[in-house]
Amino acid sequence: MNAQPSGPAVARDTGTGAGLLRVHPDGTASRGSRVFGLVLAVALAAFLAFALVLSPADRGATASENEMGDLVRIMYVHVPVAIACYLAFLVTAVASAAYLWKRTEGWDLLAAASAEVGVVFTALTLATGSIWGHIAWGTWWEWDARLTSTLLLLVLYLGYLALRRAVLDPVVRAKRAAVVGLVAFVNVPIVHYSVDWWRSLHQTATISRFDPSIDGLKLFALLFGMVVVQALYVWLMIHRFRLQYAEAQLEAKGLDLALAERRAEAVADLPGPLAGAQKGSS
Amino acid sequence: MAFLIAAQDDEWAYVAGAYGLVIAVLVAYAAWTIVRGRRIGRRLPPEERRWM
Repeated sequence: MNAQPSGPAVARDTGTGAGLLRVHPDGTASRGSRVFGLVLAVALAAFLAFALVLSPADRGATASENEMGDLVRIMYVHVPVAIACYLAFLVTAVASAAYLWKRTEGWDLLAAASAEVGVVFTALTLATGSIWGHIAWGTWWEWDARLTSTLLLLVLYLGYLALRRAVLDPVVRAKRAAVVGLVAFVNVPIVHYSVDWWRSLHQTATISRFDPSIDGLKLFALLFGMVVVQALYVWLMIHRFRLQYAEAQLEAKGLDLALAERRAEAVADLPGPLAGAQKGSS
Repeated sequence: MAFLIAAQDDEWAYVAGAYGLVIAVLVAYAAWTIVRGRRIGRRLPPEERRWM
């Protein structure tokens, strides 16, 4: 906990730590999240080295390869961001269910934070898939089962975020958002299994039931990418959840202030003797 | 041969585009979250920022 500035010479706290570990006094970072962020930055650099330099292009030299050439490198980022969006919406669904059960504000804040991070990852999934599709399939977009259900997923969670902005009462908002957060999650298994359930242009799972269709450094780059991107999701969530919490605190303060102002106005509107009695009682 | 080199360059342009987009969006989102966190945090007393 930071100490409050006491003397007139020191206007603000300057934060704790030094160098790369310095934590901003007003920010959402803590010493732990800063260390985690630095480790993550190193891991990201290592991932980029494996994905773009060290792993070979897919030239179809072995039976497990598909002759995707250098395009296979897009998979090392496309698949991990897709898994991160599943994870984000799973967290939203679990937190929404926990809110409906416990009615604790923290679950609602967690659901909201994870939904927003999930929307970012879903948009990136669609964008990277579209880039890959343009050269592999010859089109930026196809109304294919996987692509369409993923677009629907993005629209559903954009709706979830819009709902949160539209409802002013925090309790009503949390309740309605929790229901939407749970219902929208039904689309996640539909997205995942769409390539098996319907005839799809999109390829089936690259790694399924411990029988990967790629091997060696390419498999390592993909698995390493999954670990790094999920860790990135956790780091983003730490900051986004704290921001959500700070916003909720500020909103509660605003509501308290508005209620106090409204009470003061109501007292001022009362006839003289009654207003005096109200002021005396408060 | 020239055709093969041109095809590989084309593939790398798409690969660079995909990685560039992902990095740019995630960096922008992380920066937006951190900056907004500092702006909101400034309006809250330290005792209400329990992570500090």
